[in-house]
Amino acid sequence: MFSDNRKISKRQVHRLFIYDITGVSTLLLPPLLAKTAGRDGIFCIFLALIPAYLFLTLIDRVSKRSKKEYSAYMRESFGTVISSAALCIYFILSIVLAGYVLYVLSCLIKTSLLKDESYWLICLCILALGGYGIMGGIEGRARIYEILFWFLMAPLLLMLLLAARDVNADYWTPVFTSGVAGVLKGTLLVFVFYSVIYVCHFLAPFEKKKGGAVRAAKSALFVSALLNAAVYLITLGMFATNALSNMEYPIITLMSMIKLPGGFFERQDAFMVAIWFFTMYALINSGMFYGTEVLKSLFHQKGEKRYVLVTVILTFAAAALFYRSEAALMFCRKYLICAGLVFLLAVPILLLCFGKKQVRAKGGDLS
Amino acid sequence: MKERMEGEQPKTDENAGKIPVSGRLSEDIRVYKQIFSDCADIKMREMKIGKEQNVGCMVAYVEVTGGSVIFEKSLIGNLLNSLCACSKEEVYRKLKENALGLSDVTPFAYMEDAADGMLTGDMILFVDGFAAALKIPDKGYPQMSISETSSEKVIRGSNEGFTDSIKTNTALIRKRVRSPQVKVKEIKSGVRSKTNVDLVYIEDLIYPNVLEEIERRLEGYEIDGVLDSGIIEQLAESKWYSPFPQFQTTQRPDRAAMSILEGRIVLLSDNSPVALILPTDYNSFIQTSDDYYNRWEIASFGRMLRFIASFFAMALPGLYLAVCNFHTQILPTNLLLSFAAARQGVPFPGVVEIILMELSFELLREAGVRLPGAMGNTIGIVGGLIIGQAAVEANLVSPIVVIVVAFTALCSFAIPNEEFATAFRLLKFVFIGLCAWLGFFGFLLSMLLLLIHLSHLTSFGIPYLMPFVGADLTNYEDERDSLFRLPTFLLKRRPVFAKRNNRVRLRRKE
Repeated sequence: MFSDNRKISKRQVHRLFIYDITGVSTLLLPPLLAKTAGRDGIFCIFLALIPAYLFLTLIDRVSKRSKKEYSAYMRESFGTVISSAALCIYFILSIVLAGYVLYVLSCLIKTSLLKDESYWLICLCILALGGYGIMGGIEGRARIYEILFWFLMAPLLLMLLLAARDVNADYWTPVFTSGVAGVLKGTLLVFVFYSVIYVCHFLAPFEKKKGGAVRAAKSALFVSALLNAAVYLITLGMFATNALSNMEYPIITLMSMIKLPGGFFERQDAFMVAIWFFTMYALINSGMFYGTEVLKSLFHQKGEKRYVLVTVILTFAAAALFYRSEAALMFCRKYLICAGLVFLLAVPILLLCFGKKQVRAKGGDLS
Repeated sequence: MKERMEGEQPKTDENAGKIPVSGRLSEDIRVYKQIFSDCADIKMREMKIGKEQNVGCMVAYVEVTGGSVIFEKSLIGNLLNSLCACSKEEVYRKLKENALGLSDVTPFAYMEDAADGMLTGDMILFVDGFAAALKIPDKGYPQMSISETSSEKVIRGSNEGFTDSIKTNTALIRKRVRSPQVKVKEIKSGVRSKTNVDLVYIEDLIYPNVLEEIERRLEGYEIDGVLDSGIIEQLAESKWYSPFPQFQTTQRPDRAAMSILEGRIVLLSDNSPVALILPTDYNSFIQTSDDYYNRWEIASFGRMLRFIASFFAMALPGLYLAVCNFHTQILPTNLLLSFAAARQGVPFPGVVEIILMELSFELLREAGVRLPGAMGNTIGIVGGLIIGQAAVEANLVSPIVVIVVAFTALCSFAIPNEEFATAFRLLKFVFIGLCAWLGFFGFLLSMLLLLIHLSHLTSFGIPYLMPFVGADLTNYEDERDSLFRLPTFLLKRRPVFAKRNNRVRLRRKE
């Protein structure tokens, strides 16, 4: 039948990336950026686009050179042992990403919607849906976010527009006060949030048109940067640098302060949590999905269910660890992210330097 | 002398074990009577034909499907009368060559086939010395005449509805699409009921693999009897656990005709006035026939209302519970106070109130459906006035809950397809349960669960959420006829159901 082809369109990839990047970054980035780069944070958001686009170019080069699935190309270039080790690291990164975002989302729900409910219950509910979500494959995931896009984006943009009325622009200036180190640190921080685009490596088999994923990721990055910039400027203009850097979820606080003109609702924060619920679920789902895909390619298997189960269990374990152990959370934030980033950049560079170049043979076969 | 008719069934594996029509009348009568032993409703009349009354024959039929044996005005009556004027040789020649020009006569070489043929409502004629049984149509089984549909009412457009007879139903479709490209493929379903199932489609518009798939699914089971298309629907759907129907149903011939023009397949089952349409999607369930007969502005407005109604039909009671029990801060103080005042003295928690009222409403609906027309209306009044008002006055429920439940019911009635509306009625209770337990988080979970489910759901390969998802399949053309319906002159292409290279349905003449 014509829809069950495990292929997704450029529009679907574009929307998926916007969710993956924007959800968690708009929630967590403003206070982190205020702490590291202060008022110069806005430049960091755009500066981080440079390494992100370079990263995407790297991914594109590797993809053009390989003509095959990423894992198969790695295996061919580096041999089974090294490629398996690299795939294991990709798997761990995907699970840590999913587990961390699951932890953040569960905490957000607990803080803003269900103060008296157990963290574990919230976590398990989201995880169960995450598992169910990836059972439908890439097409199922893409469809959810294709349909939800304007339902989530329209209210977000409207609220940001309304919030912009109360912004105090004096809080934005003076700029260039945090120094080069601060700006670089902030840029690196933003790039960490953008680095989820590494999943482009694994999207190649699902693309309808070759190279479509990279192009979609590029435009999604730009849209996400614009959204992040808007959120940062508004939160900075509302709370100023000092207050902003000490807030946990400034965007949610902002939503509770907005007054709808002639509005019926007193506060919108409960409703607006929906945006972050869906966008962060998208990222959890991405982590779990690509984790499962990597696991399948590691074991050369096609079956879904048991790998989904493994991914679900490990994601829960990661979320539980972050909740239980402050040390694990700090370790993840300080070292794992940096190490992960180095790994994500190093693998495609090494593949470009030492990987075998594959050209299409005359008969159409790959050589 | 044994004559063989042309077109008789060849000896194949399919016919192995069947008893052939011998051409010896006494032997054939014996076998036939054996097949229909203890069947008081099967009538067998022996008589003599030919100029010299020297050719024995027997007419067999189900009691009400044939007239008297004289059959003056019937086809078989005319046949027998004319055969009475022929010599013996002429009788065989005329039967063999169908020289009397009977419009629909089918010869059977096997007794079992003759028996099946008779059970479709026709008459069977055995003639001594003639080794085939002839199926000759007569008045057939009793059936309802064409009447107005009880559901899917429209303000503008035809009021004809499907009947219980599959032949009438196919004719009603063909009456609307008079093209030789309209094909009707007949399949027998049900080992004992041997129900006729027709697949109606336009040959050059459908994807052949969709037709193959439905045929494969129909042949994929063996069942005693198919008494309604609903049985076929349940057996042929791919996701049995989904509350959402994967076949669209209609009782309107114009809707069915419109569907085949879109490149879809209509499945008709004998004895059922409900046709199944496949493939389908969420959008198709929200559309009505008169969406296309009315002007685009009002059609779009109505359609948007129905989309909103489908959301509130499942989500409103849950949202009410989430807001009132968990997130009261979002409501203005005045409203909150009036909610509190309305609930004063009500002994039950909100969730019990909602479930009580929803169940009462579902009971009223069920009772209203089962009771005859006039009494059904009374039930509405009893329910609305007595139960609702009395419950509020007795402080069992708050007036707000009555309003919420009534509005939810109104929304569910606005969904044009009954089977589709049922899905929302059921999901409403999932929303109520999760919202009562987890507040707005429960609502988000339910919404996400629903979205994931719908995004995984397909109908014969078409995503259920088309054209809101995967619209690139049709170059985003299908979005012109989704939430809004653009003016008719802009709907130039057929939807995704039609074959890719044959999608143009409207073009301006040069």
